[in-house]
Amino acid sequence: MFVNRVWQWHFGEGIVRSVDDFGSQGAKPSHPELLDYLTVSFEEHNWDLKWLTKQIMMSQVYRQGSSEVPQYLAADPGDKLLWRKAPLRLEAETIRDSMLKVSGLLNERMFGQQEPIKRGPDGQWLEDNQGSGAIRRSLYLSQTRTRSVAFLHAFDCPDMTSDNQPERFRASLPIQSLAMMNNPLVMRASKGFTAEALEKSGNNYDEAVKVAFDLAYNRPPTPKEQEIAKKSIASESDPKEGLRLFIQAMFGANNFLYSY
Amino acid sequence: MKRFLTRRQALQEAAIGFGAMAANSMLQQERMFAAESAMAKERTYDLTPKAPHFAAKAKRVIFIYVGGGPSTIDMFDPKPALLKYDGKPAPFEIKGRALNGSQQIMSSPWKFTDCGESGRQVSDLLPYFQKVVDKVTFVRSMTTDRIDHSTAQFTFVTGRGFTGFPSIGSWVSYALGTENQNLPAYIALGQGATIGDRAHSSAWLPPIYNGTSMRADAKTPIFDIKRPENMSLDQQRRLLSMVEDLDREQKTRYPLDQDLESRIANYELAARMQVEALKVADLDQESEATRKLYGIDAKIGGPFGRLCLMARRLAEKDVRFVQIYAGGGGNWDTHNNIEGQLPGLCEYIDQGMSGLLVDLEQRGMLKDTLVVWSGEFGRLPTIEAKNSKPGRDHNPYGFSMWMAGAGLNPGFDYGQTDELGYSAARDFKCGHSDIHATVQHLLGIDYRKNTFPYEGRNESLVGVTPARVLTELFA
Repeated sequence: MFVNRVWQWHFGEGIVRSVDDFGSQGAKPSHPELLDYLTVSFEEHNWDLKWLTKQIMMSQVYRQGSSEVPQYLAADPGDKLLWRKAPLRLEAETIRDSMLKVSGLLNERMFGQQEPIKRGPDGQWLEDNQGSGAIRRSLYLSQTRTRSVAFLHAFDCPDMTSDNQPERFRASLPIQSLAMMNNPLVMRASKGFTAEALEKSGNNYDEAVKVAFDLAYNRPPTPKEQEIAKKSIASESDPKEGLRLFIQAMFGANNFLYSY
Repeated sequence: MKRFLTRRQALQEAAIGFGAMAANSMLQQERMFAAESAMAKERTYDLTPKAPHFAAKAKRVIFIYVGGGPSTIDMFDPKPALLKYDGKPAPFEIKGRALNGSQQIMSSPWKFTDCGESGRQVSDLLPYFQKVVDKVTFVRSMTTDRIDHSTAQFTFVTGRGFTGFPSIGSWVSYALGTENQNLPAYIALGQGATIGDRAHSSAWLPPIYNGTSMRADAKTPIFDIKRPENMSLDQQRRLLSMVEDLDREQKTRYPLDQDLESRIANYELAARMQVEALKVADLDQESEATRKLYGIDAKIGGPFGRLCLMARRLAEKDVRFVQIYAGGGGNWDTHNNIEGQLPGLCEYIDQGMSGLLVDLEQRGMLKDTLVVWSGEFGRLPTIEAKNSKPGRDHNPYGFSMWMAGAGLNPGFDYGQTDELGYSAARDFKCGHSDIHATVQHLLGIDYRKNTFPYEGRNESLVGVTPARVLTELFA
């Protein structure tokens, strides 16, 4: 069951879909021999999680692209047979942490005390060091059953009052849109990412866009995308602000919120 | 590599005849359920309006939730016997939670007045409610099997006495969607439930049915609804336009991606919501007369009046389920100093809720809006006196709640408590599950059919608790 969970972390769905219900009451495994093989091998490798992770992530199935093949998509729309690495909406913590990472705002210190949260001006709970200083990973936020960070909750992070959610929803909700449009963390991160991109490109705006795409989307921008960026940079009296707006749009787009 | 015996194989190899046959047919059923379950997870869920199971009387609900256990025997369930036994031990045993085991009766410190045509008696602590009480239908024989706030509150809003289950508004949104796609279907106003956000949570139902907290604050009614100070409207438009352009560019590489379309639609909705939500929260748009009706400038009752007025505005915009918490004026949990506390608590809610009933009726909305008023339990007729300022302890054995509007018979009282207001009369005992069945029924929902697969069974708001639609309440 643990191996199935690890598979779920990487693929979004376990080999057995009902990760907490194996056997007659649960769903049938899509690839039972694969699950058996991984489980036995995992045991044989001394229950080494890093070994298991490497096996999965180095596999051909994991490294597949996410391109659509219309006839495969029609035959297996849920990608149960893993004919591609289906695009998956990232989990809340991943979205927040990725935003912080590319903006140079992430404090990568591990372990230690939790990070305090406080109520922001509109009443939502958020990290308590808005003004300055690096922010740590979402894992360290001091959330409780009655205090959950609104940004994470908007992206389907369970709020600890429901029972254990073995499978999170990956919903598309207007409150997520509002967060990407107006949330102070997104504003801060887009400012930080703009500064990072400009620094790494020696203040060359065209290069900065390429850097941004490389860091956030793992690919170069298409000519069309470069054009959109250029237009935004030119539309503001301060080109930096034009770039920031474009970068904020990059955060809000599917390419950032999903793993492609 | 050693051979791995699957559980299925182990079961098959160990099965003996009859057991195996029974197991097989159970396996079949369970596989069918697992398939259903998996399908449920893969469907997309939305808020588009859905037809109810049968003709509905109510199109929307306003649920005033009074967490803390309001003392209904001091508010609108007077008992003359309390005067008779005041200061003396009760004539029969009062079990209850009675922290100090007191059996001494305390009559209501306040007077009641006969009101309206129904002649019902309402406490002088609620002068505005006295004038509108003819419009409501009382249930006077409510009971609950939970004695403490958290468990009783969970029970009242989710049907289970513990955390982790969807609330009534989520079940209603799930069943019916909503008519106005520019606002959330399920909105929570105010504060004061012990269980906080969990009182409007969708739990394991699809997140689109989660209650959205709104404040009666024209500037920031919803989290992240307000455009940042240093961003102009034009800049925001360009931002959204760029998100869409980037997504459409992505779509050229992934033409069959459904999620892309829904995400683009949600940005458009969020943009509309910014306008709609800010508009609906702007109470200054109301006439002077209306604002006076709800008493939104009153010192004590003003804040609750604002919540009620906001609720009417949301209902007018066809928001499916509005939940108003009534805890902003203090703690209803009057174990101590009930004489000092209850007047202020009543003043907090009186004008607002009464104005709401009048306003809904005047606008012709009361006939298809269901208003529900309840706490999680009531309070005992006996005294709780830890210090010199006495109060009342929790009473889950008998308490009152009221409803008004769509499909109900105004002026009608269902059931009663005994002469002391202690426990509900046996023949009329009812509870939260009956209210859940009744509210859904008025909305045209068959409470047994409104289900979602969860942990191997088709769950519903009522679950396995026996429930009955209280048809006696209907006009």
